[in-house]
Amino acid sequence: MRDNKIHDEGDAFLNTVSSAFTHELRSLVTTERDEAMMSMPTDRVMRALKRALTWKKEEVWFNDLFSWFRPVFAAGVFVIIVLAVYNVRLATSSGGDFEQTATEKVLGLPPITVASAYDFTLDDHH
Amino acid sequence: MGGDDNAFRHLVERFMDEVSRTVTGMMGPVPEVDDVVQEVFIKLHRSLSTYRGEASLKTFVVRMAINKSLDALRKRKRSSWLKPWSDQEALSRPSADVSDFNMTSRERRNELRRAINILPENQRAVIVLRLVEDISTEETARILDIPYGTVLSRLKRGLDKLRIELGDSVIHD
Repeated sequence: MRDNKIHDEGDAFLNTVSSAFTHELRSLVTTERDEAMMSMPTDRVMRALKRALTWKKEEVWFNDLFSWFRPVFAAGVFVIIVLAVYNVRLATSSGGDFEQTATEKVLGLPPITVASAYDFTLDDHH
Repeated sequence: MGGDDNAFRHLVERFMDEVSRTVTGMMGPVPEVDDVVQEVFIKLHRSLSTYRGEASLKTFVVRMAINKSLDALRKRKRSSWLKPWSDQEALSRPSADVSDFNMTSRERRNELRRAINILPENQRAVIVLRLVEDISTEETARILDIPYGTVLSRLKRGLDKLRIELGDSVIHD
């Protein structure tokens, strides 16, 4: 008798799969399972469940959310740190009176000096 | 938990074989198997209140085992990028102590596992459910939430790949 039970017409091609192969496959998985799993799995599951039940619902929700968005969260934190460092450097970079202010640097505006105030070639902003 | 505790313990005992075999079939003999099995049952406990009996409990549990295995496999792939080469080799190597097995059976098992691991995850899931767990094609389609025809095509493609890897005589009579 074959091991690959044919449950319907569609999978009749399984007839050609040798029962020895199916046996080998099942015994492989069973052996691997016995090697990979530690003893008394039910007891360990029940202990893990008790531990999990002591967590608050909000913690579980937050952990799920955090683990799901972890790469996005890490990238966001990185961007915020880079922006903060950039801003600190802009703000602390000291220059003379003709140096651009931090706002001018960020917006790419030319520095406003007494000379530029009387320069008629510069467009005024209407 | 009390009485629920005992009832759930019976449930764990009832489905431990199916869950542990499905997870091992998908992941191989790796240390994460134990954790994934625990996660499946913890998720089952949380989801029991939403279980409406539309599918059999076995379908419900095995679906969770497949989904958790796929999550763990994705996590492994992500973490393997961060690991040095030596650790990656350890990850892909079967972890078990096989000292009592003779060399031939060990090599044969490694060969079979390597062939299974070559399969894409969706084909591996179908092979595990249909051939290892002997779940019907219709039930496999319900568990994986895919059409019946898709199960058949994945099964055929998976068997073809195994035939190429292991040889025609191994798989077919």
